Amino acid sequence: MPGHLPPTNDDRLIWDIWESQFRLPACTVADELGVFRALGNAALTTDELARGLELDTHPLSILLAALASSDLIEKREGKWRALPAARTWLHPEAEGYWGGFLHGYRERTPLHAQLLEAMRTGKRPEKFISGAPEWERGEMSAEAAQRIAAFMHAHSMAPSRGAAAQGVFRDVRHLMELGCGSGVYASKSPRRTLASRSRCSISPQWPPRPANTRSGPA
Amino acid sequence: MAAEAGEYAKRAGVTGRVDTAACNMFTDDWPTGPDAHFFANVFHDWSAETNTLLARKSFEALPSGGRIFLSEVLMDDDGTGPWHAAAFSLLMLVGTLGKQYSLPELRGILEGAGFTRVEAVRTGGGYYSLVSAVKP
Repeated sequence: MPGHLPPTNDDRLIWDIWESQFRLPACTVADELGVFRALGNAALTTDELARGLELDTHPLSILLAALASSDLIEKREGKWRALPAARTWLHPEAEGYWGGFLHGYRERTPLHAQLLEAMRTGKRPEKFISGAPEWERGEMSAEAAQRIAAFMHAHSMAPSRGAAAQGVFRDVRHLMELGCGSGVYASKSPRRTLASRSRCSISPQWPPRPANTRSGPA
Repeated sequence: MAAEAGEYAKRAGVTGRVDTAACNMFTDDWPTGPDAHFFANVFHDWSAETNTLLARKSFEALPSGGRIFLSEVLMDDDGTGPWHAAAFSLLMLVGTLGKQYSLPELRGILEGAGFTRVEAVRTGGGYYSLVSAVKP
């Protein structure tokens, strides 16, 4: 009997472990940018906070969502406000400020610098390894294709099994899967499929990412 | 990527019903014939404007009654979480040009391209949802 088991449609434990890497950098970056001071002192909209901190609203809205789902801030009637834990331990003027401890992790946590760079520039950090540069150039080495396919395959296995089990493609005659990955959904689908692996290059006329991408309610 | 995906299909033993094709999904004409298009973790890589272009190209290539599917980890409608989507969005921030979208945001993109009946279901026991819409 093998020591390994077949995949299921529930991989949340692995997701939770992987995503735990973002908890501390989100907090230390918000601390360095002054988010907790600003939202401790006043309730602000995303636009107001972005203007006050001189940040782009697109990265700021992503950081705020991470802080809100960490129970450090909340959003009420369109305005963000620091919650008691953040006002007690993360406001720089608070007697219980954790800054003296957290500042040491700015340099020890590589994601801190990368996230801070993305927040301040609105651009992807140069040192962060991802498939995006290859997609944008429209050229991909075999090594990069292997790396990206393996990356996509691993975290798409459970949802592809879930989709197949639920029969979400049952009425589909011919499915075309687009994008970059291993084609795992196509492999799990019971019908004929065309896994179209785009090179994902962008033409010179391609519109740049907008400065503001709203992340609020419809 | 097409060659690599082909290797995965070979290993899964499904080459008899899975074909691969290399194309530039932004600039090339898409193959006609499929009655459904599927994007797994693609829209979260790009801006709303880029996704609007992809949705329009899908709409143009699909037959009437055809469907588009998006597999994504969805943000709550008010953009405050949940953590598993917000953390994934942080990865998108440092690694791509995108973010995790909410269903209302994706609905706006898909309906803007002409699709109707936009809905979402959770797929399996994990964090992913499958958003679908129909070309009238």
